[in-house]
Amino acid sequence: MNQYVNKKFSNQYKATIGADFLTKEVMVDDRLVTMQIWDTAGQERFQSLGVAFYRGADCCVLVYDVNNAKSFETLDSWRDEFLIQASPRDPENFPFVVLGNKIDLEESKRMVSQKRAMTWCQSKGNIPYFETSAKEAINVEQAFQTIAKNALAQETEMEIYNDFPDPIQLGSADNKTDFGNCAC
Amino acid sequence: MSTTVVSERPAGVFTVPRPVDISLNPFWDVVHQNEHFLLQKVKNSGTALKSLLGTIQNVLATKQPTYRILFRKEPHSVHLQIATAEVQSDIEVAWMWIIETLCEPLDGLDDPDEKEAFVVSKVNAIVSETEQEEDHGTMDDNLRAASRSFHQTFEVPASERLVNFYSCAYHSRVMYQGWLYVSENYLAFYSYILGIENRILLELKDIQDLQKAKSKKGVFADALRVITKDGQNYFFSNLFQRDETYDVLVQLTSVAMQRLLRTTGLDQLPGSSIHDADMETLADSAAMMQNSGNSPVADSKPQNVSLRQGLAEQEKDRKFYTQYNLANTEHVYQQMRAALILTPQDNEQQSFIGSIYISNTFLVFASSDLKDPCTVRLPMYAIRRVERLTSRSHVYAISIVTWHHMRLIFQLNAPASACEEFCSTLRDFLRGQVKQMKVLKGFLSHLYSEHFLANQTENEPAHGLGAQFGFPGNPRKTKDRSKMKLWHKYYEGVYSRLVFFIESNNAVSAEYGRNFTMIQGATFFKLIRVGLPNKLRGETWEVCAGALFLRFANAGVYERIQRETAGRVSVSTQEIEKDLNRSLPEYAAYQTDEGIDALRRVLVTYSWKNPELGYCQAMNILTSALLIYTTEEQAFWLLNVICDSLLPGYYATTMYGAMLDLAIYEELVKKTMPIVSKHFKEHDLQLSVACLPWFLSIFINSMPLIFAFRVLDCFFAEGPRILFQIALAVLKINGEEILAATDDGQLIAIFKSFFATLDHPLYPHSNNPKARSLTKFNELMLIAYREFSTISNDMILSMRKSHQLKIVASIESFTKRSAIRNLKETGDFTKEQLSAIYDRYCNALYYNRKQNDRSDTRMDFGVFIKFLGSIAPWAKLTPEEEHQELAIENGKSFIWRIFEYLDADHSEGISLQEVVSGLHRLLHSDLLERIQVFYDVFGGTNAEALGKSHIVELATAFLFLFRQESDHRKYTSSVLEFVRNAVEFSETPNEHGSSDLRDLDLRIDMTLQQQKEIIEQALEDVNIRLSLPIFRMVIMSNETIELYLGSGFASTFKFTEPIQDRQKSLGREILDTYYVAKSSPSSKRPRSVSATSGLSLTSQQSNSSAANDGKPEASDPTDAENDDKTEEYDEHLDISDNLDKLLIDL
Repeated sequence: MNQYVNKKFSNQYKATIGADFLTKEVMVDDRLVTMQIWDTAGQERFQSLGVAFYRGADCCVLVYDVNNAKSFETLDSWRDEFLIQASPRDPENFPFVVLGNKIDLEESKRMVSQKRAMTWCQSKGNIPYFETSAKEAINVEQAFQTIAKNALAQETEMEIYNDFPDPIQLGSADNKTDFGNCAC
Repeated sequence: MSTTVVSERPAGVFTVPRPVDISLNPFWDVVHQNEHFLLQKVKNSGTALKSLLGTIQNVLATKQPTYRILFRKEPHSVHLQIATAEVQSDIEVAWMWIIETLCEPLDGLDDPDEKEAFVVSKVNAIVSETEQEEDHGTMDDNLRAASRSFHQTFEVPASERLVNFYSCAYHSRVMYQGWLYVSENYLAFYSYILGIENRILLELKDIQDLQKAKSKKGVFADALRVITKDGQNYFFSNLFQRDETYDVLVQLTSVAMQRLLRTTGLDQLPGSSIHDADMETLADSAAMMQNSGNSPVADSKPQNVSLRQGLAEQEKDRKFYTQYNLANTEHVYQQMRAALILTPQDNEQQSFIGSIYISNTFLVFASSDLKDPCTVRLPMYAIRRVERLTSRSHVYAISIVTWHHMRLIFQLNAPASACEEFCSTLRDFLRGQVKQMKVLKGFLSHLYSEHFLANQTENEPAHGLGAQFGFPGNPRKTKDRSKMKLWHKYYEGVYSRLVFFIESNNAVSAEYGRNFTMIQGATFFKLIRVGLPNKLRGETWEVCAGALFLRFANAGVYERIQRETAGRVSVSTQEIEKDLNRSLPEYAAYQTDEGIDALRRVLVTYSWKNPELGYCQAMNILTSALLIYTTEEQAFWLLNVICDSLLPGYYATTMYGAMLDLAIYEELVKKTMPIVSKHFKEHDLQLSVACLPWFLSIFINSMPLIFAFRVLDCFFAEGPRILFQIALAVLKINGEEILAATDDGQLIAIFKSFFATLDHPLYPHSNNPKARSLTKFNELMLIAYREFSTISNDMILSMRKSHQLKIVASIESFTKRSAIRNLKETGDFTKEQLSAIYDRYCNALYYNRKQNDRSDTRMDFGVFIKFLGSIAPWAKLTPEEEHQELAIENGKSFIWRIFEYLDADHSEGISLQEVVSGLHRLLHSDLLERIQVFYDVFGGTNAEALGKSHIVELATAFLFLFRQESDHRKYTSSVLEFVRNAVEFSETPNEHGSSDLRDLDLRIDMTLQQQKEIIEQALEDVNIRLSLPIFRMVIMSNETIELYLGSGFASTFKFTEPIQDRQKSLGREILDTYYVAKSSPSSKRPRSVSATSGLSLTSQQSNSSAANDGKPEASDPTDAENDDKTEEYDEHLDISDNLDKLLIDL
């Protein structure tokens, strides 16, 4: 997240307690939108807090460490919990993006193959999948472009559904994107 | 009234009025009777009916007293029992009293309903009055009587202990006056008035909210509202002891919630070793740790106190050790009012009025004046001398000289005898601590305060990473030196003596004391609020939090855990490893191995000490901050106090404590800043998203470090309330900006920028230099202390208790969801079935776990029996069966087989996954597969063949399974056929064949053991060997058993019924209703909530599914009336059938 917004990577950052966010303005299809990227706590027990970190999100990014099989295996549970807590109108088609991070480490340390990750993504309704390195800034820009695009598409869809006057603002320059699970 | 004995109301004989039927005359002889009342004695003759009654009484574990007095309720045949006794003289006294006082007024009343109401209210009044009498003897009798009727009325385990009972009224449409029973696990209500019976039984763990309320007209504060997790709302009023009832319920429910939190988390303990075997040694060392914290006299705790007294004591102790930050093993032995007199050197004599306590290891005094605080926590081992001061003014005063030669004078405000007792207790405990005293000297030499006062410059005791890597902030700006001077003065600058005895009192070294002996008075809190000096910070935290006492009592434990766990890996240690570099990266020490290693050791050691909690993110940030000012061992014990008592549950796997405090915070915002609160609501802003890190990291993650440590100083000295005060002040100061925020992001941004500018001057343009030096942080603390001073620790503690029910409910639903989701295999079960299996699984664990068990989330065999009994009626053992040990061993051995079959990993414990997979194999299979399952269950997987012992066991198992079937003859003969076929088809030839087996007979009145012996005997000379295909043939050639295995067996499993069975009625009521039903089916009779299950011995199987829907209908007594009537009638027919059978057999 920091790499994407501030073009910086640092080993010196604090564990996220609860949630934190950064904003960035991006051009998507000739539209300038502000993207709020939320980073939520990675430890599993924070899930039970039931604090609605995810509410109103337009896209959910699941990040795992390709060198850590367990971080991949818990994706399922994060995805489910997201859907339950965010309770989007159309859970089947809610946009997710999966990032396999830390590909900068040597190949021998890798625990989750690209194929395995792709298969999982396909089984969950063709979730876009990127292999990234936040440290080396590999694929980060591309991934976030997709995220922004999908989030925006989701939001437009929401507006169509939204046929009654709604007090909750869904302003076009205010996308909220969740960014979960892993160091990035 | 004027006659002698009679007008004394006989206590303990009268009971809560309850309906009985007098058509049971055969069992009772009338001793006396008049127009209104009957005195009866149970018949002696041993008729068949008597033994039938005996059977039923036995089944229900009730014992009918020998004498009873009934109120005649003409024209009904149902009368009210109002008194019982075992001895005739007792009942006669009651009878005389009744004749004298009740009959005349009754003659004056015409309406039978009025008469009944009169009697009921009179008798209730007697029962409740005697209960309120302080005489313990009668109270116990009453409680015992109440406990008996509680157990008779409700289906609760025989071991369930009644805490207390209260007279009260239950409101549904009408108000029903009756009795509220509070037991360890249940809240129950019973009333029987004007022909309508109300029965409510709630599990305490199912209560979601408890509210004090005013009764319906809003006049009397005597009501209680109880809301359960399924949304039911119960309203009780006329509770004369409402507050006591509420307190007892709150205490019991919080115990229930703690247990619930332990049972709902189904994952393995995060902090437990990945290799299971490692854990045992650690558990031992944990146990040892507990012991070492105990004083040798701890065993002398008063025994044999009633449950209610015990609970009250527990609550008193809990308040005591929470308030004074002491170990939870402390028990209060003495408590009285006292005055503490100090005479500081340059000041006026100070005296404080308050309470003095003696616990296992501490002498505690606390002033009761909040404006003039003074707290003394003296460990016994830091007391040098105690003297009784002789005084002319008849004041009982003692003088105590502490380790640091400080003299404290206490004037005890109690009768001389109590004071003597107080002193003798003190003496005993002092003796017990002599050993510790010897250790104290060496321990003290490592404390910075001692070093500081000794004016040494060499061998400075370790005081944290800061000594090497520098403390945050500029010491000149923070006026570190002058603060040190102030503390020096506080430690040594004053002395105390009793003013009347100046002449006899040669000046002892004078001070407010330090470390172990420090008095915390007004000056102390002032010194804390300006911020602690760097070098004394760690130690003062320790003193305030009581961690110093823990560290002293558990010397060496920190190193020992490290030694014993060296090299082990757990989920927590892995998580810790990931976070080490993300704790306080900006601080120099954490860019070196030295700092990181220290942080790792503290966190890892804590995770081994408390594997149930393990490690939670935010603990890393907290610990890394502590370590700047403390040694590893100091940080470790501080962490213990924070996790266990200051912020309980914050870092638990469910994080319930954090959720709880966030909920309390939001409530406080609503109360103190309604406009802001309304704004949050209107714009759907989640305050908790922004505030979670404040609480979890005690602001360390939010504020610049120098300020965060100031907060931490106050937190340790003043307790958790300060977090709320500061958090509220943050909102107050930023009110305007907050009211402009419309999404969570903006809210977070406001707080971020506020915290980032805490060091900015508050009045940058002021002419007054003093005002110019004030920062925004000063403003924040000022507002926190001034405007939110009403928030006390007591208030937070009680809010934690009252809010936790709701929090636990939401955690439960989350853990359930994730436990089910995490199942790797769910078989062919539907979501509802899985949810039901989960509920029963947790329920069985919940009720079969000792309070302080470590959370093992697998079922052992004992729990499994209960679990299976809750889904399959045949596995549920009736009380009578429980008593026949031999018989039931045979049933249990079958259940044991199933247990082994489900226990796939042979761990002697069954996980939820094993239950689901195992039940799936057991239930979702066709006939052939199920035959194989039974083959596997008895022979073991991959067995070559079943032998004779297997067949005997199988036959017994079938008999056990069929014991509740109504067509008994058919089933027993099918079992015999099975045995014969097994012999006939056996692969090993038999000379005799199965001819001997032809005349075998198994009668219904035989116990399972007898039946088993008959089969065993018959098979004595034969050999049996059945391989799987042959075994299949044996089964398939047996129509009844084939059908049973094909479909009957699977359908005995019920997942849809509520866990709580409907309550059992009394044996006599079953018969009452039976007779009523027979004689006049349409007559209005007392609604017996569950007439059937009482006869579970014979009839449960046949009608359990029809009758067991829903909770007791007491909540709407009229609505369901019509629907139910036909069904109820059917049930009675069933009973009569079964009764007839029973009678024939007799």
